[in-house]
Amino acid sequence: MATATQSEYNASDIEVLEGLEAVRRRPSMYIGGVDNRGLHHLLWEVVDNCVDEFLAGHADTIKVVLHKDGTSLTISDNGRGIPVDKHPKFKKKSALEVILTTLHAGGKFSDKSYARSGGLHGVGSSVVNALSEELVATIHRDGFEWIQRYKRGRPTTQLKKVKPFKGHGTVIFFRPDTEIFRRTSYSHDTIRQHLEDISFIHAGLSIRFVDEPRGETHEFHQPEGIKAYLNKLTEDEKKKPVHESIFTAEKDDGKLKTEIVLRWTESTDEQFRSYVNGIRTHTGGTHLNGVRSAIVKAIKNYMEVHSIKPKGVSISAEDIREGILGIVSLFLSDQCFRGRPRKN
Amino acid sequence: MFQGQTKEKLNNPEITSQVEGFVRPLIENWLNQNATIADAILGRIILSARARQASRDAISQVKRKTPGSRKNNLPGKLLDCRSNNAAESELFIVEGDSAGGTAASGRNSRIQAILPLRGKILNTESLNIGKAMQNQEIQDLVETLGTGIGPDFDIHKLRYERIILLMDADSDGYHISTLMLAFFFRHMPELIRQGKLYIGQPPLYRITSGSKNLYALDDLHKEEILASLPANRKVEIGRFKGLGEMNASQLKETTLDPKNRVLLKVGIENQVEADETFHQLLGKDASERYRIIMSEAALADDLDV
Repeated sequence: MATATQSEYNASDIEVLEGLEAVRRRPSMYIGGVDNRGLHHLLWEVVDNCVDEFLAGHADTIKVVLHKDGTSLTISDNGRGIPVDKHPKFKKKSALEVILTTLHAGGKFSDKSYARSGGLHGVGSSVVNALSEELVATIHRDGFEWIQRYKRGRPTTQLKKVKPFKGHGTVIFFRPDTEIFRRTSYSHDTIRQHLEDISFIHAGLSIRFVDEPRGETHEFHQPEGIKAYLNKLTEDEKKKPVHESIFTAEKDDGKLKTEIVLRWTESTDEQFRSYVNGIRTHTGGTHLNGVRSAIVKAIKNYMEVHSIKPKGVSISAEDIREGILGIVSLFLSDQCFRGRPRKN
Repeated sequence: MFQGQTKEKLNNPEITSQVEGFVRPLIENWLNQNATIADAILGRIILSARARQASRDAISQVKRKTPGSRKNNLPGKLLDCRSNNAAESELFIVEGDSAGGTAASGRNSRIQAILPLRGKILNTESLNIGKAMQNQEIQDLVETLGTGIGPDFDIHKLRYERIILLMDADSDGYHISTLMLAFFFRHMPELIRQGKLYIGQPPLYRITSGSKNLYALDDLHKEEILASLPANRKVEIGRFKGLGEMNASQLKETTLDPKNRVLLKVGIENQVEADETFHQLLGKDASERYRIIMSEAALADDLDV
């Protein structure tokens, strides 16, 4: 794409363009697919960044607006606002532009500013930008409102100081690119469900979801966190609890925060929801393995100590976990993430 | 360390022992301090152990019925193929005896076997294997496949290379397909993962133009074919209401013959979504089902199960 400013391009700029071009060429590598799920993944990335501001203690409110067209969205938080000053490494660009146009750039990769973060270490914003027909970033910080517009990952305007503004936060508007996605209409139920999930995992965070096509507004705020979540799941799935009062465990040693709630039900399946830094780990992982084996060992030991020996059957691990409904939520610090190289 | 860019799984190996070491003593404490709860939970666990034992017995009974020469123990209504070589054989599961008859005359009996199902098969979504195996149709199906089921399932014993669901293109047919898919997804997921399960695509329309017979899979395909025909020629369009309306040679030409037919391979694109969708569509909660049918009718075609 030749433009009047072509002569000003230098090596690092070209590298940046190649980076986002790669996202457009192979979007599935970054968002898992260009299906309905990948489409929603764009939104989750932006929301994750807001949640990170909450985890860092700077924001307590997130608002998601699905616009009348059913495909464009505005996501805002009352966090610090993405920095708009010049980035130390890319002298000509604001930190905002670097974050929105560079893969693997973002406060979370190198800084101490986020102790725990769920976003893709800053990949998120630029990937969303690259796969959006239009993206508008509105920043409230340092007493002003700032705006910059993008198209398919490239800025179409300079960063503009619009007007004096009291308060702080980040507002991202984006419209997914119809060249990338087969279908670009968002699902009310999927968004509502996801935002409600987030509000359970992050006790204290307030989320408002405005669905303009339906003319509905939903508020999510769960001070009881995953305890309330477990009760809701029991009810939603129409599971009959074996015991009313639930098992809860919580620990925070600074590096690792663990929250677990458990309940046995009369259902025949074993159901867990596991999260790391507020992100659902659909296929579980080492955190869930730890909980599952702890349950089996604890029960076996309890049976041994109390000499409980049922006649004619042997108790397997599956028997012990049958009907269990549990939620496991871990928050790992960045140090923990950096400790080992990616395995695959 | 998350696995993959979309973070589905946590891989830090040290976490397992940390979490286990933290939570195990707390569970034991909790049980010791809440004797009533502990009793209720232990009762629940022993009950599930007994139920599992009963399921195991039911499964091994079915297995014992098929010793030695397997062929002699196959269900009576199966029209098996002559070949013993699984790599070249395929099984068509068809809806009803009449369609089964047509398919039987249209098939290549050397490599194509037909299993007609009677009516709607049992909804196995909320059943454990033992319960499902009490149903005759399900038993016949499992015996035909040869793989066994549950913990004894062995994909290498599958008697066919391809399992093809062949149902009418109407709401009953869709319902039976869904029930079949739910059965395979819940109780034989490996069969789907190994890419052995297919859905046959019988045509919906026959278009006759002069001496030429053309077949269309759906409305869109019909329009395409009509557009490709010369404008002045007289065209006749017939709609097949079910497989039974086709004669054997039509069925062979359009649906059975590997040269012309269209098969959809069944895959699991997203385990969690598929799980939820089956649960909602076939689970016990009717209000949930109503909700998904009313609000997600358009989305359902996106799910690749």
